[in-house]
Amino acid sequence: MNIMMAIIGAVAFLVFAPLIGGLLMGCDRVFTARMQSRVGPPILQPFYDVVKLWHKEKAFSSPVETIFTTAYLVLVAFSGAMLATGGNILLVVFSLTLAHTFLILAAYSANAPFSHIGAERELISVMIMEPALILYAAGIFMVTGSFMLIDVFRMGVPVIVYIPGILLMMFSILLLRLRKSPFDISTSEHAHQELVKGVTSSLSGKNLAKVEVAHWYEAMILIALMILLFSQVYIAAVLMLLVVFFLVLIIDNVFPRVTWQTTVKRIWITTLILGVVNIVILGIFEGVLL
Amino acid sequence: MYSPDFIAILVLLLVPVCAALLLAVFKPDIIRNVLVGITSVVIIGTSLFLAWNAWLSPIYVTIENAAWMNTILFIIEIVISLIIIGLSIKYKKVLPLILAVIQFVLLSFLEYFGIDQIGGAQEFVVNNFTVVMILIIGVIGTLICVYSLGYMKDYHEHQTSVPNRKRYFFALMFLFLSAMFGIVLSNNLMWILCAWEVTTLCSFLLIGYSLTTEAVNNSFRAVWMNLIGGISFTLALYFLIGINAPINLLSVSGLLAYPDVHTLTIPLALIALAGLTKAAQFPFSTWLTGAMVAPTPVSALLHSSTMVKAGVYILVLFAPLFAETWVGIALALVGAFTFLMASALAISQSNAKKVLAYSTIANLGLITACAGIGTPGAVMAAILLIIFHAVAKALLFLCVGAVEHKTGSRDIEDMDGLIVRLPLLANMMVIGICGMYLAPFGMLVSKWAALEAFLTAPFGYVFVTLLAFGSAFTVFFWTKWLGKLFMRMNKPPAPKVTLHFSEKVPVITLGILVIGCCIAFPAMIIGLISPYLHGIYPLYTPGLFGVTSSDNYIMLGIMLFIILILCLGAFFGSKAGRKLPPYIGGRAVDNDGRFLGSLGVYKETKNANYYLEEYCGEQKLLMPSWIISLILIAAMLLLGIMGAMI
Repeated sequence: MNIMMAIIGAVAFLVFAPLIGGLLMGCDRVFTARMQSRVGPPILQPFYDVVKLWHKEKAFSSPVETIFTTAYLVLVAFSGAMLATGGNILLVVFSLTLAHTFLILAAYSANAPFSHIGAERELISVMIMEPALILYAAGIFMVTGSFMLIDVFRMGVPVIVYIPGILLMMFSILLLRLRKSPFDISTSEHAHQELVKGVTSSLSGKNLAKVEVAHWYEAMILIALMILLFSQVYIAAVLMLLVVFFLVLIIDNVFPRVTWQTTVKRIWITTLILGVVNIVILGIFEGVLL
Repeated sequence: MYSPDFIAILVLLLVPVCAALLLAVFKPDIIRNVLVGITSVVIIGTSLFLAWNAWLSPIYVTIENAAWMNTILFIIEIVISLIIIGLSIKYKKVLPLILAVIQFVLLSFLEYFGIDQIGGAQEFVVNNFTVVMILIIGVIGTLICVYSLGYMKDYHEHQTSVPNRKRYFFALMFLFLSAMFGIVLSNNLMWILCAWEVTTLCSFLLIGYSLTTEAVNNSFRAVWMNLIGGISFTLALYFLIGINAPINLLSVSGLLAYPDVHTLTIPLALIALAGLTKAAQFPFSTWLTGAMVAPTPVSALLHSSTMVKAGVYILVLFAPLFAETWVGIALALVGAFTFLMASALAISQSNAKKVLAYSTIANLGLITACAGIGTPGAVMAAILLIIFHAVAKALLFLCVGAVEHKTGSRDIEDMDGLIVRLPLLANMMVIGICGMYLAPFGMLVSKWAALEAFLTAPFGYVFVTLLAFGSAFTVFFWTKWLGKLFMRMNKPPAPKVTLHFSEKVPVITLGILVIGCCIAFPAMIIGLISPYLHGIYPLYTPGLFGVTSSDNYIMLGIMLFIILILCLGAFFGSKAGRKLPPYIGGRAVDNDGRFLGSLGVYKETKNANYYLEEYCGEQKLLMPSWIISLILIAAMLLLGIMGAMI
């Protein structure tokens, strides 16, 4: 690994990912508003929100929330930075799981019913994501022969050619992890719904701001994982992103929230049909395809 | 005249036995404490000495004229069979009786036919894998015995109906250690079989310690399942004797060096079956979950350092042979399937010991899967799993046992706020739980190694899929337990929280060991496991595997550093800020977090975890798991008979 390149990649991710992530969220809010015949907030609204939260009074229901949310933000950012160095995909996956554990612990420690339900559901959501991420890593390994993301760029053709199912599976995971309907099981999009923001309902001020920024990072990590599959063909990657963005918008606006049971079933059936089958086909025809 | 290594081996084998005899004789607590203390120091010291020497260069000890030893071991085996037969008759248990009689007959014939075959091979071999096992048994096993001193005192204060048989208890614990040393040190399969039977007997007697109906029933379940393993092992020896080979096939080194693996498939399948029973894989899992009725040190000993590790030890030992046969693939399938199902079952349990039991079964499943695949990478993953699991699981068991005595419950639902109620135990528990599944702790590194091994194995995609879903379940049940510890932190510390000195020392030592293993794992791979792999796989090249790549170490190092800073932040960071009552749907809440009920009374909120009984309950999953695993085991035996090679 070229150390200079790795450091530049990591720093670039740490700086630009939240900017792009925040902008995407802003766009999302504007487009959603237009679809509902509203004007909507300015495109920079997510940043205004975070800045405002940052200047709020420090208040919590349990003092450990501060350290747990910090850990969440730092580790999500670290996972992303690791991804940007072209490092080991499995380490990225594991460190993401660790990061989420801290968010879940923050919600648990509040000891309030809404945040407790949010914690349980967030945990289920992390559980649903785990096999997909491991299968993603497995897919990359089967094609390139290593877990190092840098090796994806050494392939002659984009890896998507071999693992299209994995891409579609990752799309379902993106839907889940953006915590937008129909899969906003752990935190409702709006505070007036019955979940009262679930996992974040007890967080306020800086703690909430950290979770918000971490959310942008996470979205960018998932998007980066999808872009990566297109390694050399960047036009296709951009097109894919546009399609994904509008699909997410439409799905978010059209479908109501489903129960967590339905979420598990839908996402895991998707994982099995797209991810596992893809891996199995790749495994059986390895000699022919690669 | 004897080499120091040989003396060390003898010390490890005989000192626990002598200690057991003395412990069985002396009744006063003070003598017992001193005896256990001295023996522990001797065992730990000798283990370290032997491990160091063997690490410098593998030890091979040959005994001239070992026939008399065979006779002694034969007598031990016969005595064990007779004890089991006698107790089966006493408690009117038919199945254990039948199996014990079969085993008795088989052993007698084996001794009659097999006795001449012995000789010509080394009797004791201590290589790097043995070193790992010696350290696990010698250090962790002994620490558990020390812990028992304080634990059993409390145990008999809590359980007044259980007759006080501490002498019997401690004697068996040390006998157990001796038997475990016997299994890992011997190179001779006849000797391994004998030690194997001793562990069966000891676990049987220890599980039934409290003599309640449940304990007796569970102990008989343990014994008949393990007897199936014993019989299967004995039959494997019969087949090995039947093979006309120029070298001694009744030794581990002889078997590993034998070129015609295709003639070995039947004994391999039988040994695999024996390993599966000891390692409590489906469908033999119920003996381990049933063993939870025993005092906690027994569970800790059975689960983390001995008994179940004996099962996987045998499997990992023969991994190079499994790698070439279809028996190995079938064995790996049983293991991977067990990992998936046991992890799911663990979600449905709220009894902490039961969760630990299922998690043990799951991890052993993963080790079994690695052993069945048998490539160098898989064996590396298996050994790493054995190490990390032993340390973290022993720590967790000891914590749960102590917590149970301090709070009166082993239910995870009652562990809320433990981090303020029992800070030391809870912090150790957090370390243990993190050690079981979170980055950058060791278990995760082993999972990663396993994943890499699976991906390069035949039918890797099947194993990867099972691992992916299984590890998702693992994340679920560990995290919700972890969360419980951090809930309701407004409670006051428990009044009587003093731990016995003998409990505190093992718990803290194990906590340090978990963290130490996490930091030292690259050294373990490079210094300990790679040389072993080099010894058994001539073609093995260490640089091939991602787990051993230095870039990843740097990343793990950074992650560790971040965690360290966060921990420091948690302890020294500012806790200033306004503390607000939790949000409970807009109801009035007082300072303790209680809400105003409709009758004007403040009430405690109670938040329970999800257990997903309707999906992961024992009612739902056990039967299908048994059926599928039985089919897989039948397939394994059939493949063995067919002699199918890859």
